[in-house]
Amino acid sequence: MALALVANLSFAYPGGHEALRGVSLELEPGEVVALLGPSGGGKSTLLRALAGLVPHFHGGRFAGRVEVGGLDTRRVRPADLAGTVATLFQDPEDQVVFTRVAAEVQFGLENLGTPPARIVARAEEALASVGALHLAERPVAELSGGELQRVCLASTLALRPRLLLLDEPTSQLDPDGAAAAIELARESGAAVVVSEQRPERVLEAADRVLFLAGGMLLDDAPDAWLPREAVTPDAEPRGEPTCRLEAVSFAYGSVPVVKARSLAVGRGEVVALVGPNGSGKTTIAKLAAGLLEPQAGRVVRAGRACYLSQDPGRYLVRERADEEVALAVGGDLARARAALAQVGLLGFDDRHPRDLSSGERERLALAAVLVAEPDLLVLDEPTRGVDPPRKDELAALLRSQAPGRATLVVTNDLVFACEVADRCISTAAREAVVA
Amino acid sequence: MSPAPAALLLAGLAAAALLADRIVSVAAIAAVLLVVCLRAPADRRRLYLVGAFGSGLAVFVLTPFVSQIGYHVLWSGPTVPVFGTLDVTREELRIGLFQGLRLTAVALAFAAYALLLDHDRLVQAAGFARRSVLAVALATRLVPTLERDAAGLGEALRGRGVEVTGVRGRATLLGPLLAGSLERALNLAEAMEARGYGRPGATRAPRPGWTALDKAAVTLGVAAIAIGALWL
Amino acid sequence: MPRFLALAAAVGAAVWTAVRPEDAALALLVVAAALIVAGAAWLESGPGSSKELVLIATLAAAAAAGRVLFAAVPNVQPVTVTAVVAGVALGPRAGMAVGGLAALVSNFYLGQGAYTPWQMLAWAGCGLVGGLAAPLLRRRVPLALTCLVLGFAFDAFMDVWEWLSFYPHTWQAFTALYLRGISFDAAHAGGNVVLALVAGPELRRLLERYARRLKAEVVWA
Ligand SMILES: Nc1ncnc2c1ncn2[C@@H]1O[C@H](COP(=O)(O)OP(=O)(O)OP(=O)(O)O)[C@@H](O)[C@H]1O
Ligand SMILES: Nc1ncnc2c1ncn2[C@@H]1O[C@H](COP(=O)(O)OP(=O)(O)OP(=O)(O)O)[C@@H](O)[C@H]1O
Ligand SMILES: [Mg+2]
Ligand SMILES: [Mg+2]
Repeated sequence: MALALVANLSFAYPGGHEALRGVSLELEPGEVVALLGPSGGGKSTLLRALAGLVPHFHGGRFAGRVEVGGLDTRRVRPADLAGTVATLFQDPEDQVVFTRVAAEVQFGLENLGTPPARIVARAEEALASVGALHLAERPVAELSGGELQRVCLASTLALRPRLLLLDEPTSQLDPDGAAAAIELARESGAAVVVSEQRPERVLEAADRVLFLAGGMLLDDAPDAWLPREAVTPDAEPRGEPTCRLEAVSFAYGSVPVVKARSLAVGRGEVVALVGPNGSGKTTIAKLAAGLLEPQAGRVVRAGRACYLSQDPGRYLVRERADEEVALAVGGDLARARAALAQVGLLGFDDRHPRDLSSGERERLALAAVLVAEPDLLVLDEPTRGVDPPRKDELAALLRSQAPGRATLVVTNDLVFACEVADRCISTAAREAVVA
Repeated sequence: MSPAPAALLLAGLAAAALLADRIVSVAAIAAVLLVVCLRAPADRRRLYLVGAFGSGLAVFVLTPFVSQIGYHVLWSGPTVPVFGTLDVTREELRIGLFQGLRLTAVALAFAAYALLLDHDRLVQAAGFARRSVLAVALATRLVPTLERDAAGLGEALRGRGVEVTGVRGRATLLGPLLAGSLERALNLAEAMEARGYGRPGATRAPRPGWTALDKAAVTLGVAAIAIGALWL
Repeated sequence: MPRFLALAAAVGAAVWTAVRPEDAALALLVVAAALIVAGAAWLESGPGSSKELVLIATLAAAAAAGRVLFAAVPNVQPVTVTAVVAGVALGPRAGMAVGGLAALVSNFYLGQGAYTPWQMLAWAGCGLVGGLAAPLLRRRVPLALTCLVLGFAFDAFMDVWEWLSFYPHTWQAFTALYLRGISFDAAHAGGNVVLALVAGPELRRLLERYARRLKAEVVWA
């Protein structure tokens, strides 16, 4: 008997266009399904429909039927579905309620009315299953992105769901962290639906693939979505160094993060900086762009440097897209609109940045940095939430503009690193140049 | 000692200091609270101790010049508009010292709470008012995150060569900071509902019971109030 | 029921201060605690959905974290303006809760003191004023004027507590206290005016946009 059933589901957000059009599917118990598709294709909306959050939490026009574990989501509120369906959202930072890990994992169990005597044991069991029991007494603010994601997974697994919905669970994680997260979800034994922008991270684990574009399920995925192997580029450094770090060291307070690191990015070069979470990639990028001053060593820079921050969608300050991009060029709207067109946002001039999808916002932030035509361009994780076809366009854009400047790209996405970069530098091993 | 009884003990001592009538009793309570505060690490407690003694000293220094009490004039100075003739009598000094010590004692009690108690455990220990407890816990949890957002806003602009200076410049970042926090709020509310928040029949994880030490602390706190009111 | 108890305690404590002025300090702390319990009870009886609760917690945290933006400028912080605007956009209950909670939470990071309960009441009051005078405060200038007045009123309110509790009840004492903090009060009130003029209406539009998304009507097609 199917665990979950979606029959001819159509949905539009309040005041918005159709996010889902006539979607039908069935999920078997214990099945792992990969949900792929372009940004704005409707993946998150489908996952929210399975959890009852669409339409109860978001409102909007709902047609069709969704049943999970025999419960019809039109009549059952999301909180009542919580025992059957559990959802892990994209940003762990936006899901945690309490300041201590143990209280956080217990929260779900308390809501479900678990007998008090069993709560602590169930919470510890869930933490142990994701290998985070040692974090139980730690304050949440001190955890890394990867550790926080594991705690959130534990708080969902603690509810022992029969259907586990993961909405881009690995966007903040490095490849090893991503593989571990997907594997933990598989081992839970629940049926799992994983929405993912990086197909190579989920395809081996998946029993089945669904492709959602324009709110409709397609039969097969276009070839841009097929996994590609990462061939590590190792061209020789070339070009007049636009930016050079000489034995640079940096520490946040008493915590040393960058130790005697040397690095050079030549004019005309695209250099990828890769490495595990928390290994100092963002810190090195900020040092190169001049946002941080090194405590030891020297940073030599020729010309203007621009830095695209790691979570661009959150740092947009104007109420119109063209004004936002024009900030870096003193309000010159003509250049701003040209930059918007360059990143595929033609006609978005008067849109409010907060109304754009996550993929569109990342491209707006990219335009806001490219418009200044810097001599040194530093991009911190520019492909988070960006689907493969758009990533190919971004790689082509950066390559075409490479001769005029030095480009440093920080990324956890090895496939993208290999397509866009001439060479890779890793923060993992001390001396190893190759990723 | 678990947080709630410790908080009650501190409150009891503070109340006793405010009820006592003699300088020596208030000084004794202040000394006890100071010893408690000294258990905190040096760098964290300096700010609190300076605040507590500074405000107490201000009371002691200002009181004589702003009141006309007693006859034993120790010093009389010039006549100043608004404040009249500035004079210092023994009674005014005594009252200044007494009120100054009371303020210091209360400030030290709050300092001990801030330095030694885990604010978060204390909030969660409250069995009643679940929504208020959750609101306080959530707000406390979000402050570091939103502080990083605020720093990130400035950094993202500097990364584009846009300098943010002055109160006007910084005020333009308030809107985006709030917009970002409201988006977090929607995501958080959605995640809470997906984890069963709002479902009737919620239970609470068992709170560790009060040990003998905890019970003793509470009785000591209550006793302090009674003694403060009657004898001190 | 808790609201009635709290108000009764408040009146009782006020009478106690009149009878024995030397116990003013304790009586005033009891009054503050009673009013905070009443505020919490009013919040407790509010709508049950997670959206309202998270909204208030997030706005309070944003107001508290917002002071990081103004750390370099002494005594300029966005809590007053945020509480007033929250009141204007979301009503007195939300404004009061945001103000009170922002005080408690920012003091948790800045340093708790005997002034904490009074700061909670003062900022909750600012939120209440915003909520009650909402129709008047929709435009930039009236909002800025109100925040100017509230800036000075906030500091005067804090001085009144310290004066009644620990200083001789003479107006010279109150004058001395108020003059002591006048430079800070001016910076606080001045900062409020700039914030209200620059960011006030934008903040209100943001909160009203959010309030619309709270309703989430479902249309079954
Ligand atoms: N809360 C919302 N309110 C209004 N419109 C929304 C909301 N969330 C998504 N949309 C719109 O609905 C459509 C589908 O969005 P959805 O987030 O489901 O796509 P997605 O496949 O998850 O995209 P991404 O890969 O970027 O996360 C998009 O056009 C998006 O702009
Ligand atoms: N502003 C900060 N204050 C304190 N510690 C920080 C700060 N920023 C980063 N850190 C710490 O410094 C270390 C390196 O952080 P950084 O962001 O440079 O790593 P990263 O390689 O970019 O990680 P990720 O892949 O998750 O982005 C981490 O342990 C992080 O917790
Ligand atoms: Mg999505
Ligand atoms: Mg990083």
